[in-house]
Formats: sequence, structure tokens, C-alpha cells
Amino acid sequence: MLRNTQESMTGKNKIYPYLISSGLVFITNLLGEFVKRKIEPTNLVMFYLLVVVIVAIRWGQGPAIVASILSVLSFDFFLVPPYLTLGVADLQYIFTFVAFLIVGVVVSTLASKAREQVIQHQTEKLQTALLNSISHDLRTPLASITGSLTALLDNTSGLDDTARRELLETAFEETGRLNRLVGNLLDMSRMEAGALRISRKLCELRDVLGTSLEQLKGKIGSRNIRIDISRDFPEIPMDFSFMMKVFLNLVDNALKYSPADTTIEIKTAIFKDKVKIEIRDQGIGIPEGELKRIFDKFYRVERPSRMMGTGLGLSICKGIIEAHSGEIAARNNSDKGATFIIILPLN
Amino acid sequence: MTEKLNLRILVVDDEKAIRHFLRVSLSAHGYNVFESATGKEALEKSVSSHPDAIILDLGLPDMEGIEIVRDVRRRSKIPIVILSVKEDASDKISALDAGADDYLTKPFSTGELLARLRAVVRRLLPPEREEVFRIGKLSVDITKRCVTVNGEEVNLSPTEYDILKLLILNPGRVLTHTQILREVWNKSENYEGILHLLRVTISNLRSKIEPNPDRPTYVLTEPGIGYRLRSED
Repeated sequence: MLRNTQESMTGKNKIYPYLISSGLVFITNLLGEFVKRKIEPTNLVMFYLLVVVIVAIRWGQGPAIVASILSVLSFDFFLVPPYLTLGVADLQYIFTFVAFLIVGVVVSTLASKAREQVIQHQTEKLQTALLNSISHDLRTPLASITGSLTALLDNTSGLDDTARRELLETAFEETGRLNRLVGNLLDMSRMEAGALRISRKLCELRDVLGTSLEQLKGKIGSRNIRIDISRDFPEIPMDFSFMMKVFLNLVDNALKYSPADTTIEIKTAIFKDKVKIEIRDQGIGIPEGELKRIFDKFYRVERPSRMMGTGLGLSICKGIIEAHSGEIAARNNSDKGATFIIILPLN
Repeated sequence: MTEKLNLRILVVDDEKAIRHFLRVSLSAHGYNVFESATGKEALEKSVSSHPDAIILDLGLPDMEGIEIVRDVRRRSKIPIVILSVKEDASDKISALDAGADDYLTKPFSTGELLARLRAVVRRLLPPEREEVFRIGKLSVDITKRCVTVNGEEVNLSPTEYDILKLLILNPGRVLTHTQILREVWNKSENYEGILHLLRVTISNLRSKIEPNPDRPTYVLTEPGIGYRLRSED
């Protein structure tokens, strides 16, 4: 596929490289005419090989093979006695032809492979940073899982029950992380491909939040979460599952970045045709200059390394909210911590 | 305990590794495990191995998992727990509407699977003499039509009570919107305003029986699918 793209970019016409190759062989013929009395014909073969190599590097295998065949024919026709016929006076030239063809094909194959690699390298360079980041994030939990499990499988290690339990718990926690990462990558790629299937149906915000919090109950523990939704809060057209992802992400972030003894507040407000939902923590806040960039893909604010994340969560939130024709933003509170604000339309 | 009953479980999944870990962990809990890797084999074994419950992966190579659900339901009421990797709710809804009892999305923990399995096979046990359902601080006496929270009687509207009773009588089952609407209102989802009515009724029910209605722990929402009653403490 890469090659096709490249070809359609460099050659407007597919015949073009073949014509140039033929031209180059023709020029070599002319050159041969000038020097053929001074140089052994078999040495003239080198000129043709040079052409084949150039063609292979520049235009790939097809034109190079055509150049090889044309070269053999021209060489025979112009430079091998009897001249201007395809007949051959000395049978040893047959070996030259065969050897040339083989060398031509091999050289052109190698050269075009090298060429493809160069093209591929350029294209891949664009994705390398992305892939590095993803594979690092995927390998990190895998490394913990492999490490824990191999330690458990190792009969000679003499682990006590506590240690075994700890290793198992580590492996289990890391599978969760791996699963979340894969889910995030899937959401992200669907979003990029425009294939995020949002199905908006009227939902109660209270239910979406409650179900999200129930899923996070392990992480919430005894943390205080205050929810403020007025009795007359309208039902909002939204995708229950996707909006849960948004709240899971935002509440999880709030839990991660704020001290355990502080409260997380979820506040709501109703406007004429939209609603506002705020998730407010009393944590470390977000550096002022990064309030917008945190929604960028793979962007991560410098944090202590124990704060592991994929750098995808917030950009997925943004994608989901925008798919609902809403808006999401972050700001720092005047006193302490950060607030994420979501605006959703009512119709 | 249900584990001691030597219940027969048919595991249907084309992934060998999944079948393997299910066999090991279910056997360790006293279940008798039968396996099949294809839908065709599953249909045969769903008869020949006389399973008490079926764990069924929806993505089989040779046929749609939902076909198996339909086929089994034509013949019996064996509990069926669906396994699926898809996050798409519509597959689960159609499997549940076709008669599956519950679903788990891969990856899942063994503990979760065992809990779901215990809940669905509870139906197979002889009915308890005591017809009072208890969970947390909630207790419901179906014969006396009496609901109490913390020992104090709670007044539920007729539809609130009907929904609660429906959930109680279907232990371990996820009830889809369609199923609840049919049972409680005898209406389809297309009936104007009926889904809103369902949401409001659930919300009111929760505010009467849940310790914290903002974070329900008895009547649980299955996003985009329906509701279930928490089955274990």
C-alpha cells in the first residue's frame, strides 16, 4: 500500500518510468557507439548495469527489469559483432547476456527493496513517536504481569503466602490497566475514523452519575463525593454508556489528583436550552498554561511517575462531549484544585 | 451452597484458553464442566450433556450465538450467561431479549462469573419456604405484599412495587427495557413516553428503598440495556 501511494505521488503516469528507462538505455547505446572500438564489448556491459541500478533505485523493479532486457538486446544489436543484427558471432557472448540478465534482475530487486525501505522509513517516522508511546504504555503493564507470574511459577523462589498474594494482586491490577488502555485506544481510533457511534437517548443525569460512581466504588472507598442535582433537573439526550466513560474519567482523575480527606463536588445548573455539569476537586490543580493542552491526545502534565495514565482519557472525554454537540473545559479554582465543566445541549 | 450440588455447566467458547481457565476455576468450585468450541457442538451438547446452566460466547466461528440462545429457549429454561467482547449494547440486548439471563463482557474476573452463575442457578433450587426477599436493609415479603427498609414499612406505588417484584422474581437476570415494559405496562418501547415513565418510576423506587438514591446499590442500571437487582451482599 505504501508503494502504491508513493507511486501515485511521484509518477503521474505509470508508463513514464518505463519511457525514461528506455531513454537511458538509448543514451547508453549512443555512448557505446563512440567507445566500442576502444573498449572490450564485455566491459561496455558495465554502463548498462549502471543504468539498471539507477533505474531500480529511482523507479523500482518493473522499469529496472525492462531496462535489463532492453540493455541485453541493445548490447547485442549495437555492440556485439556482427553489428546491427541480433545474431552473435562468438558464442561466449551468450554467457555475457545471461549473466547480465541475472545480475540485472538481482540488482534491480535489491535496489528496489532498498528504495521501498527508504519510503517506508519516511512514512513510519511520522508514526514512530505515537507507536513508541503506545507500545511503552502497553508493555509496562505486561512487564509487571509477566514478572509477577514468572515469579509465582518459579518453584525455587520460596515465596511466602503474603508475597504470592501481592504478586497476584499486582498482576490482576495491571490487567485492568491494560484493558483500560486497549479500550481507550479503541475509542480513540474510532473517534479519529469518525466511527464513534453515539446514540443519544433521554437519560437521567442522576442515574448516569450513580452508575459511574458504583463502578468506581473500589477507588472511592470512603471518599466524600457530594452530588447536587435539583429535583427539576431535566432529562438530557445523551449516550448513557459514553457519558459514563466521561464521568468515570473525570471522577477518577479527581480522585487521583486530590488528597483523600478532601471532598469531590458534582454540581449542576440549568440554562434555557443547555445544562452545565461541574466536577470540582480540591487537589493539586493544573498548571495555568496547560489547561487547554490537557485535552490533546497523549498529552500528559508532568507528574510523579506513580500517576500512571494513558494521556488519552481527557481527549476521549472531549471527543465524546463534542459528539454530543457539547463543550468541555477545565479551570483552576480560586482557592484550591481544579474544576471540569461540561456544557450539554438539551435538544 | 450451590457449589456442592455438582451442577453441570456447559462452556461454549472457541477460545481454548478461555475454556481452559473456566474449566479449571469452575471445577475447583465443584461444578461439572462440559466444553464445546463450536455452535454446532454446543447445540448437541446442550441436549446430550444435560447442563444445568450454559456459559455462551456470542462470537462463535460457525454460527451466531443468539441462534443458540433461541434454540435452547425453544426447548428449555436452562439459565444462559452470555460472554462477549463487544461493548456494543445491541448484541447483548438481542441475546437477553431472546432469553439469555445475564451477560459478562470480556475480560471478566472469575469471582464475577461465579457470582452471576450462583445467581442464575438459584432458580433451579427448590423455592425457599420463607418467601421473604432480603438484601442489605431491604426486605420484601411477596405473599404479604410488604416492603420494609430498616424494619420500617415503605409505601410503594403499584408500578414501583410491580417492578421491584419482577426484579426479585428474576434473580440474577438482567431485565431489558422491553421485558420490563411488557411485564409491567404491557407496552412496547415505541409507546410514546413509556421509557420516560419507566425512568421516573425507577428513580422514585430508588428514592424510597435505596440507602443513598444518588448511588444506587440495590436496583442497578445496565447502561443502555435495562436493570438488574443486586444479587449478593
